[in-house]
Amino acid sequence: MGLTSSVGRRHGRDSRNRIADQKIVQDLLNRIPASAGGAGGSLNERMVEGICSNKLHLAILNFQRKNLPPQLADGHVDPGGRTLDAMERMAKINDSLIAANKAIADAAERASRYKAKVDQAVDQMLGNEPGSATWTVDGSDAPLSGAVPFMAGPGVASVARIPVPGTSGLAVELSPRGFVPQGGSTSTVFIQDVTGKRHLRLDYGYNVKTQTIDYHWNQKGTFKTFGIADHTPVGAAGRVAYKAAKYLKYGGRILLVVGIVSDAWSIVKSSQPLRRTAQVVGGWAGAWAGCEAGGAGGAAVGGALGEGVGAAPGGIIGCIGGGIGGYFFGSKVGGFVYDWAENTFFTPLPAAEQPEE
Amino acid sequence: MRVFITHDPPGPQWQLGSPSPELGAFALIGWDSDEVEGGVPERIVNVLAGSLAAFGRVTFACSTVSAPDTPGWQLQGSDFIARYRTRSVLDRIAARFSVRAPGDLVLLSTTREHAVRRLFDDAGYPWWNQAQFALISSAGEPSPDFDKIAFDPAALFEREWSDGFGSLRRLGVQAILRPGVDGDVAGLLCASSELRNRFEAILSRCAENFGMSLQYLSEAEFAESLASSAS
Repeated sequence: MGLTSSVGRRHGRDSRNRIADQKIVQDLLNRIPASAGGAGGSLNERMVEGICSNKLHLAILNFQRKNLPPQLADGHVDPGGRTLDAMERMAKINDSLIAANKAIADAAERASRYKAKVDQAVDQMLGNEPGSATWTVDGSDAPLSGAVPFMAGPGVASVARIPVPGTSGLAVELSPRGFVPQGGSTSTVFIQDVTGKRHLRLDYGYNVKTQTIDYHWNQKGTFKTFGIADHTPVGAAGRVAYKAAKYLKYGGRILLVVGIVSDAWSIVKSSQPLRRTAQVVGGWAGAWAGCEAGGAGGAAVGGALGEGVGAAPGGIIGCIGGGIGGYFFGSKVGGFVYDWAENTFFTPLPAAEQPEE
Repeated sequence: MRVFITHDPPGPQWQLGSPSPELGAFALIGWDSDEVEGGVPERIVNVLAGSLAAFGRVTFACSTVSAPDTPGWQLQGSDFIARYRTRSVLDRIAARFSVRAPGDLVLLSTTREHAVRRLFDDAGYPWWNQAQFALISSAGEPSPDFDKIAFDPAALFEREWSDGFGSLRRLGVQAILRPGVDGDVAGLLCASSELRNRFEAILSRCAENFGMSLQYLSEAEFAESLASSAS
């Protein structure tokens, strides 16, 4: 309830001063600290209908003098007036400060409790706690899968088939199709169809055209798509791409294995193994889908910027980024679906009577 | 368009090993082409497949025929097929990672030119990746003893593939054709210079039939000719 009539005295005469209204003004002044012109909890006068006590009148005047222009310090409070507005605003600010102080105090108190626990744990580990067993600190309580999304991106990219839009089924891969014998292809980047018969590959070795060992493109059936002839030497960018793909092929596969093992271990150690499994499965599915989608987008952009062959680096970079993002997203979705399923009650429907013929 | 041959010992750049003259007569075969697409040009495939089929029975790795999982050669039409399959799981895993030999190898033995063309365009055993070989035996003889080929199929894919030619000769194999660097050249090792001459005569005739000439060059000229080829 707000103020319904004036409280205080003006020109030596009492205002309406209903008891309910006096209580509102007194309460507001009590909530404002004395340093800010309030009563700071000191007002506790017996109230009489129609009469404002001297103490309340002086408290109103004091507040007005400290917080309002001098011409407004008239010793009474009107409903909707500037004095009431100022009182309410100051009271709210003070309430907020009190709440903040309380939160800080609570946090400090909790921190103090935790510190005591840590001190006790350290004492136990050091054997200072009488009768305590020494702890084995092996990091097994630490979360294991924090870095997995960043392994999933390059890991999936090292084995995925990244589609290149607008090339009639060509995709970027880091391995050739078909059997690779000892001493076979040293190529590291392949833009190839599903059989590998139609392909463009980045190779390093003897080039029959230049009669030297160099980095060059070889292709079969893709000249119309990329405009690159067999044995076309590549520049410095091609050399970097060749080596980067080589490192990604092997490094990515190592990351893939490490990531999967870490996730499997996180399931074993989890207090909610089923939920963690849902997260892990969702994460890897998301990584794969993100890799394919991000890779296709990257290949399209790279192809447009790099005259076709930019599809390879664009696709791989897009795949890595998409894989990382996809893992995060998929993992989140996996957890969400599990929580939804766990909190949902499935009621079996009663068997319906078979309709009579 | 030309087909060229050198009898000089092949340099390491051709990635055909170093076939010893004691094993037989070697020929390095190359070609030039005005085609912009890579791979073995269609007309060269015609010439080589025609020559091989005319020379004798050709046995090569083929992933496009389905072979029953039974030991030995099986008749399929006028061709023979055989399947070499690594039996134990561990061996299959080892084969997957060792890259010495495929865990599942299907061989096609034929005298038909049309079937021999597959040799140069098989997705499972790509010619360009040097994952092919062609064993050439007499057309009147049965296919080479499968069990003895299957005893060590990896030897057929290795860089020093010619080392096993001695034992293959005893099985009736008269020559082996292997792809060289990037599949741009082919190495032919024949049991004797007479057999090599016979093959080259057939090759020359086939090339002429397709409007091409066969030239004998030194290895240096051979390399220059490849380098000046349009494709």
